[in-house]
Amino acid sequence: MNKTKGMSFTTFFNKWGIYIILLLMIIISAIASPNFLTVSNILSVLRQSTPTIILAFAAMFLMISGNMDLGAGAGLAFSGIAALVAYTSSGSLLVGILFGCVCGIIIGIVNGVITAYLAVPSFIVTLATDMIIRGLIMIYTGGQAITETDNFSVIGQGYAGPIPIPIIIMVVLLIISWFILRSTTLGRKFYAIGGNAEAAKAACINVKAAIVQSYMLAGVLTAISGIVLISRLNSGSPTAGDGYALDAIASTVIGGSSLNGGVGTATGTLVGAIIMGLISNILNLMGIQSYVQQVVKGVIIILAVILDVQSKKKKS
Amino acid sequence: MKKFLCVLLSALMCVGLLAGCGSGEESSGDGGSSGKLVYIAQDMNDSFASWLANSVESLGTERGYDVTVMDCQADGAKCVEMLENARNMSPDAIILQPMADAQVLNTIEGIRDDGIELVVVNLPLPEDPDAVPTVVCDDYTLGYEIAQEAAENLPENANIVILNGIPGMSVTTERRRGFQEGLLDARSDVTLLAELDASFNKDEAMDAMDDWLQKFDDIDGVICASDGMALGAIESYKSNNKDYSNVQFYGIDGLAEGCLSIQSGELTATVLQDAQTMADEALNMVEGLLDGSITDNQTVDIDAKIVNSDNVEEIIEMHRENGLIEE
Repeated sequence: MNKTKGMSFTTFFNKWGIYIILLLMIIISAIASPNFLTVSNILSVLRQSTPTIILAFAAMFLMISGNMDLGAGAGLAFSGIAALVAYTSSGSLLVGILFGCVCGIIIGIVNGVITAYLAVPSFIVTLATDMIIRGLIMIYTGGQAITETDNFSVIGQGYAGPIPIPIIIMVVLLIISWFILRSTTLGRKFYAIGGNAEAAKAACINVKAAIVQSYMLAGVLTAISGIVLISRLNSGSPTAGDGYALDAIASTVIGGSSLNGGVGTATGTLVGAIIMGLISNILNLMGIQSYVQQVVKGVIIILAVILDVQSKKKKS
Repeated sequence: MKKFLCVLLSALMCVGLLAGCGSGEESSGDGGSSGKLVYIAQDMNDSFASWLANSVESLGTERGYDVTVMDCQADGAKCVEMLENARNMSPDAIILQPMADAQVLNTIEGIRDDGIELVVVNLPLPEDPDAVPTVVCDDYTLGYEIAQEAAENLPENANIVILNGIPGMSVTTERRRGFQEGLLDARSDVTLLAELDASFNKDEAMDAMDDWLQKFDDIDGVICASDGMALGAIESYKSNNKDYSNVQFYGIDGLAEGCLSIQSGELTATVLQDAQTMADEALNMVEGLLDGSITDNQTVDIDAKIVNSDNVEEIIEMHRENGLIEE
């Protein structure tokens, strides 16, 4: 009887825990700061968090399929700057966005092919491509921010009615990500290869091709994240995205994705990223310095991973 | 697959050996007549650091030096490593932009014992500022000068916020000390609403400003320890659709991006630490050490220059000549 109750609580917490934590954080934040629970602050937090949220969706697809991208920050900056340059050269926002996305896909293909077909662990591959991409950015920009932006900022700073455009982009990508995972063969392949690659292979899934597809999908999302961030900053900053890869991975883990692969949801990832954004927001509103914020974020990440590992142990 | 990898690795090693027969790391000259010079940058990802490195490289090459640039990548341990690598190259001189947390004095002493001259730029050596010849634009002076500019311009009973750099670094504490003495102590009517550290990052500054705009309705001035953070604060106002025409924004560094912002009427003022002048003085010091006319560990202070709407065109022209602003 006791074992059944323990398992029920674990199952309940695995499913709803992250939402309960978010709700508790909102309540505590509202009490700690009178400026927190206002429409404009909530929209501000979501807008600030959008690049990380989109990058977290990218990290989620990779983590579900059993891989990761430690170079996502560099990819974000590269694709964002590429989009900016293409836009200012062509005068067309669409050309800029498409070019940025193509750059993201190419980076994804390189990471995916080396990981899948050359069997190099993804964290090594993506660490190396991170260095390469950062170097390429520095070579192109000479270490200086690109200041010619024309109207590029409309993506990151514009509004559609009362809603900031980045939030609309984020919601659309949330729906697409949710749909891919829940209702497409591609999504099921990602879960299968992340859960048990050998079993997936035995079930006639082309594991290597699926890994490349996951990296291509992550590449597009990373590019969109970069376009939103560079647009929001209104400059092609060569250091943009620094540290974002780890924030994205942390968001995904907090949101319930497993570092071992095979587990994760789009809504969970969204909530995980919002929690990370809320920490910064409420501590900023309380005037608490960034080093304390680092400690708090680190503790939350460790707790999330411990919960993930413990729940796996209980299941097995 | 294993055979393919072996062949590939062998080919790469052969290419590496052939490349290693070349003239060395990031060298920009063909064995200049003035000698061999190594420049060690703090972090080439930082706009000011890369401007300084490029200035040393171009001016050094003009003076006939064979210049090699190395990058500590903002890592104290790498700083020691780069110094040792530079020492092994047996240059005539090394110019170092040190890290605030790097313990390099022992390594520097060994280098000077080898007869290699060494000059420190931009930041005094944290362990012992008087141990080596130094060319700096003092961070306290930078903070003080821009704070004085703000003190002259801010309205009575102004409310301000401050964005600081990376906590704990002397750059940050000295500039903040300058803000305190130049503005907050000089104008007792000015109220500091809040301050946060944004690590010199534009996006962190933007996020901090976003949050402050939720909390405060009446900010008159934003004082920032770097141009990047000031520009981030401005972008925050824009993205929140807030009227910033009556808000004053102050930064430090005098970078190209900052100057363009002053020109467009957004950033109010910045203070220039001229990397070209710093590089020029560092090279003068190197030449003095090499020809024996300089024998002591002297410090040269570069003047901090306020850049505002009155003189921004002149500074933009300077950045244009240095290739930092395109025509």
